[in-house]
Amino acid sequence: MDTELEDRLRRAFTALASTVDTEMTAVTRPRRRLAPVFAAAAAVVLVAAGVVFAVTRPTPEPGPGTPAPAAPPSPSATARSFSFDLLTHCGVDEAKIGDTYFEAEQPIIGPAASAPSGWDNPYQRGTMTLLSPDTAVFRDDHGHEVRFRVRPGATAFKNLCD
Amino acid sequence: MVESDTKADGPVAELFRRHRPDLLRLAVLLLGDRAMAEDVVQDAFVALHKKWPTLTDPDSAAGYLRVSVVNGARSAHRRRTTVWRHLKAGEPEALPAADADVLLAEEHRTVLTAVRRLPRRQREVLVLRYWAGLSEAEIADTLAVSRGTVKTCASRALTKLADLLGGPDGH
Repeated sequence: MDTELEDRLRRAFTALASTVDTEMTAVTRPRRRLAPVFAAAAAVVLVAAGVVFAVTRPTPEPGPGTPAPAAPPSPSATARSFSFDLLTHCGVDEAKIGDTYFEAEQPIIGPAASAPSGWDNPYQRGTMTLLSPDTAVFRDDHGHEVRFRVRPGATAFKNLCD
Repeated sequence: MVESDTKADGPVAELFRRHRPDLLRLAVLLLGDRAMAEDVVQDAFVALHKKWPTLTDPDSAAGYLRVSVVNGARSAHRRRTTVWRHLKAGEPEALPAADADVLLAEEHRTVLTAVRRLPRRQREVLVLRYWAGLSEAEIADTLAVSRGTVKTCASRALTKLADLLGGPDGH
């Protein structure tokens, strides 16, 4: 049985905790240190995007050795556009969609390898549209549009936000 | 990025999404400083990301993060104290109030002000017990102390709090 003091403590802690805004805020601290965390956070989006990418990229016609798909993808999974948080913290340069690494056809890099002016930081929420298995375009509500193309053979980002 | 980093991305991202909010709140409760709390939590995830390839039990990751945050908060508190001493400003009696305190009711401010006057370990025990809701055993694991120490700390903390707040039960 809690005492009244314990109840007061619990309520005070809960009240203070409830005032903590846990939304990610724009970060001005050194980027190298934060890069793994941002990359990890981005993976949540990437995993989801990967599912979409996997089912939207053209598949070869079933041949003698190619089993047909067990079931058609759901309508939502067949969309070629999906919500995407593009990492902008060190500039708009690369994107990982599913397991595939893309690079911007025309990278946009801010001063001192930072987010470009007018872009949210560390991410820009928008929509990634797969134009083909090798090309994609990112668009957002601010009117930004960046085209990406596959970086053949890539197994990692060119730069880890550095 | 090495391959092990890539393997860590998915699980760590999920942990980040799920646990960051509460870890940030925990760090704010321990430190009373939002900016320092953010640093501590980020450091915890960076450390986990590096450690992931050698983590034998992924289910232990949440506990690992909590320990990292508590230890990080201690380190941050020590650094802050060192700065105060070098500035010859003298160590303040208690942790500064969190910025959010201004949003709190007078009753909660009074209680939190009293909590900040307790020794560090007693504060940690109270936060882990009455906010995080951990058992004595879990608190002992998190703070790397015995269950007896947890019990003693909690008892002394409550006695001191009651005294600070005026009255046998804090009134």
